[in-house]
Amino acid sequence: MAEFVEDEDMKVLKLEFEWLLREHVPKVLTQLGTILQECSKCLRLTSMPSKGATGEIQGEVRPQDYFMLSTPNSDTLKGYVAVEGENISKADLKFKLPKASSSGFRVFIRERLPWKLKQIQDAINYLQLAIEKVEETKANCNFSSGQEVSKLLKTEIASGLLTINNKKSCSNSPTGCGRNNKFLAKGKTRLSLPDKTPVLDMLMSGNQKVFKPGLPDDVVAYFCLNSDRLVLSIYTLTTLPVPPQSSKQPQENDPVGQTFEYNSKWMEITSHFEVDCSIPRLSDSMLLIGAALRLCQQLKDKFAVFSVLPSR
Amino acid sequence: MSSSSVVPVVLWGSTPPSHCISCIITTYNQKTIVTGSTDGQLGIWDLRFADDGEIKIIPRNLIFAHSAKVTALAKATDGWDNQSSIISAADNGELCLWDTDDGICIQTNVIAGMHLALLSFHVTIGTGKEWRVVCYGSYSDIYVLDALSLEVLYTLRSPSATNWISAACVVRPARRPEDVVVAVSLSGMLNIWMLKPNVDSKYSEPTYEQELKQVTNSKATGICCNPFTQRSILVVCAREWLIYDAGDFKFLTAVSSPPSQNWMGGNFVAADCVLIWSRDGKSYLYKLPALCCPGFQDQNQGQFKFYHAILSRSQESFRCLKKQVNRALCPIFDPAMFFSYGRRGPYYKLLLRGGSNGSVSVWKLNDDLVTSTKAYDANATGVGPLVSCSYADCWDTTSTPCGLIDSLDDCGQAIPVSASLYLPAQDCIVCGREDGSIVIISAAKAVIAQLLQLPGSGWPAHRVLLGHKGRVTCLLYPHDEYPRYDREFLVSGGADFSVKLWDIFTGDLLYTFSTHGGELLRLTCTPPDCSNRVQSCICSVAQDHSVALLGLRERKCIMLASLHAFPVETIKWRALDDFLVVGCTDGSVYVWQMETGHLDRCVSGQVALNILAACDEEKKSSTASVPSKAKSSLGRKISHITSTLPTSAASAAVKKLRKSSNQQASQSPSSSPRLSGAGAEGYGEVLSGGPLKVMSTKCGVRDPEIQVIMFDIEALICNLLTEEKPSTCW
Repeated sequence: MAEFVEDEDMKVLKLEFEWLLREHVPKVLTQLGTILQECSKCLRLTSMPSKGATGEIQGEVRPQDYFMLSTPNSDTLKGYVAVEGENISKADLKFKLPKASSSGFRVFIRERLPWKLKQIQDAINYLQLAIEKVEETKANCNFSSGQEVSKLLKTEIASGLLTINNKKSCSNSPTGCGRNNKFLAKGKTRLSLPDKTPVLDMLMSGNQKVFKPGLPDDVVAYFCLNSDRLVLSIYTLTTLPVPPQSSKQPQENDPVGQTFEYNSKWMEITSHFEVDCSIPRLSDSMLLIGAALRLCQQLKDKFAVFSVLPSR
Repeated sequence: MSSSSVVPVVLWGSTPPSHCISCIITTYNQKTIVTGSTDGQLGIWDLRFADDGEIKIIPRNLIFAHSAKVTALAKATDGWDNQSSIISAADNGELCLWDTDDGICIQTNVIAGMHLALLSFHVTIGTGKEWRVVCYGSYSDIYVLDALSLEVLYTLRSPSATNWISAACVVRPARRPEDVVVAVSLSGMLNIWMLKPNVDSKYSEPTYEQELKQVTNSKATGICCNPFTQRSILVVCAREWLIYDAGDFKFLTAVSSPPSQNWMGGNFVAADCVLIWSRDGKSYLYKLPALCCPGFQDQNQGQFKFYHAILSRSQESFRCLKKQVNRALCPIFDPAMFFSYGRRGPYYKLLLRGGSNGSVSVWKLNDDLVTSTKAYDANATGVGPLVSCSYADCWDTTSTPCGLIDSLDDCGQAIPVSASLYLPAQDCIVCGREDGSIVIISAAKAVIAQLLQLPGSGWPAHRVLLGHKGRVTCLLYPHDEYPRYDREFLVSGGADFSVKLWDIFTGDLLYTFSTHGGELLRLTCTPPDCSNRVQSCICSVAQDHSVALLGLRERKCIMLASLHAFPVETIKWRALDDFLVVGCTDGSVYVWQMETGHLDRCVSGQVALNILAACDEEKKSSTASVPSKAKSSLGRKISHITSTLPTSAASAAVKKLRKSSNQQASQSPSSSPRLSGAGAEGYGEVLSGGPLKVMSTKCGVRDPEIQVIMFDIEALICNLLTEEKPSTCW
């Protein structure tokens, strides 16, 4: 195919490719590393002195630690939560549920046994994988070919199938891009999509034990993230005297009316509501991940230009 | 159409398939090596031991298994009767059970998440054995699966300190009836679970937990229990490897990695000898001092020094092994390593390495190598592999495999085919090539000329369309998909950013669309329920993330959607609302008005998923009324794993929300031909009509296409029986 492109053009293209590898990529990698570090710090943010030493208190402490969670225009739920890193370390929630057996009650989460927000933990882990990958590549930064760069990016954002070429790099694959599942994109997805946990799994998972002195048997509470918002879902249940005749098709958006078997008892979900609050550092993290993703994609797009360079 | 009588013949072409190995294992009997590639293929290699100690590796099969990177492999069973079954896990959560003897997929399942490793073990239930698999990855639980059904039996979790598992191993403690899992989490917690044979609860909690202080700051990449004494545990981290006493988890020793190298994994080779491999594909053999080998009585007590030998591939030794120097220069990134200690037969200790260039290397660790280790010498060149092999080696032989139209241009080298399209109605194949030419030729005549005639005896009449500069990347014959398109229209997209419209019968270039600013990635037809104007269009996607609707009759681009910041992943239609819905890899969704070209909305997160799901609902209801759309031509089906828009596999994020996910996942493995043999299962359903069909596939994205010719013997016999007078064959 080289015959069809002018020789002069090819020469220039080669030079540009070399520049990209020698000058541009290390710069972008450094920038990428910085963004990812910043984001990771932001996600891990905790008010606890993380290193133990008095001087080393990480980040600006405490300003946005506590968040109000309450139902608007009613006192069904009133309370606050403290979010540190991936944990809900403290919570004080007052319920007045008309449908539940004990209508008014109050539960706490204490620092000893925090509620783990898996979505944040997963995001942190994905970020860490991405950081490691960037560091690794920066460390042996003498790219003899574009392959290593493309491979790194491949692991970092959705990309695909590796070609064993010496020169040609970014196999910006149409099929590979179809899988939104590399570290950064995965991390972002994890944060931006709320967990779709069935109520049965919420009961089984042992998470409910975090609430002290314990929720009534017919109430289930569950924390999850939806983008930058912390969402608390409350379900109330009733025990059915007989197993249901026809199990209702579980509908995605409306859990009310679903039935399931738990502890050899059949339960039906009678009501469901959600309260949420915005957590500023999460929206910051989302922005940072987005920026890192874009940076990666831009570098990848630049590589794509050079796919016309002869490979063999 | 019967499936049993179809004989596939693979025309590999003159270029060997790329096979970037991401994981590697051997079967228990050490007769077969299985490799998984980043493109989702599984390589099956025979390992043959000659009597004189020589080892040969012979590539046997290439299974088109997954549509994503293979992340883990495990043996499914080691029973005498079924030694060849393998379980593979892919990046998109697919799990498949394979019979490596004939390349058939026995079972599939999808478990959300990226699975890092699979570890197989067995439990005794009554008098029988049941095989199970431990599976962990980008989630905080460990799944225990049934090795045959691939269903989750129960989940291991640690309620007090949940985090992802970074390394785990399965061991059977001495005089115990059941195995245990020893796992280290990302935060450095070590947990031990008993693997109970009976499944009484969905969740199982650890019986032992301890924080490994030395591991907390770096991630463990491997863990291994000394199988010889069962008294020590090896934990490999990126910067150092550590040995613990298995009894009380007392820290015994740590050895850091060579400068600027990270450890990747390791294993015990002997009671007092460990083999640790680093990320650059070198392995280091260490003899442990007696202090670090509790439970092992050695004659040479009092040695406190580490000794080691390096097993590596130095540049020189590699060059000796390989005929072609240029391959030696290609560095190996992220090799996959595996240590295999034969439980039966010859009891070989083998170290395997799979490289990103598709090569498999084997070292045999003889006992004298273990005993004769000497103090580390920085200048030591190391020991080269005993044998190394890659698919490319098969191409180095005298009879290079050929492609379908390789000898078309008799002069010089064959031009690789970069995109091809088989038109069953005309029995012709359209091949776009690397140099920009498009060849249209009768498939049957091409096969005759390529395979049966002597080279140089001339080619049948064919048509060459010249116009593209650079590679032809995609082809579309819209009339084959929907009869509303004109019969003569053939559309091609190229690396030169242009979409060209051809008259397939005359060979004329009708029009060139210069709409995009990037290499064309795919061309698709518009759905039949769109407005009349859009119905005569095709949809094109380019590498600059733009989507265009190109009017074939109008010779005009009627819409260009081009501000997507990320690659286009899915395209869906809400034809009745006149909306084109574009899903991007970052999870954002753009809704475009087709008639006006306005961007209606741009959303992300849950709303984006809802919009995509809503499009599917409309599609479902519309296909229900138009059942004739079930046109599953060969090309279509195989295109799931090649270059066109993979609607089913693409929307991985959407997948988990959709109830049809299982069905879809099972689709992609079923479209996995085993290319190297005579097994014809799975082809029959997509065959119709004449005795000869061609389908094509690719190993890697930039690889040339591989053509698979399928002779339907039954159809051939039918044709011969009915053929009293010569039929008019195009």
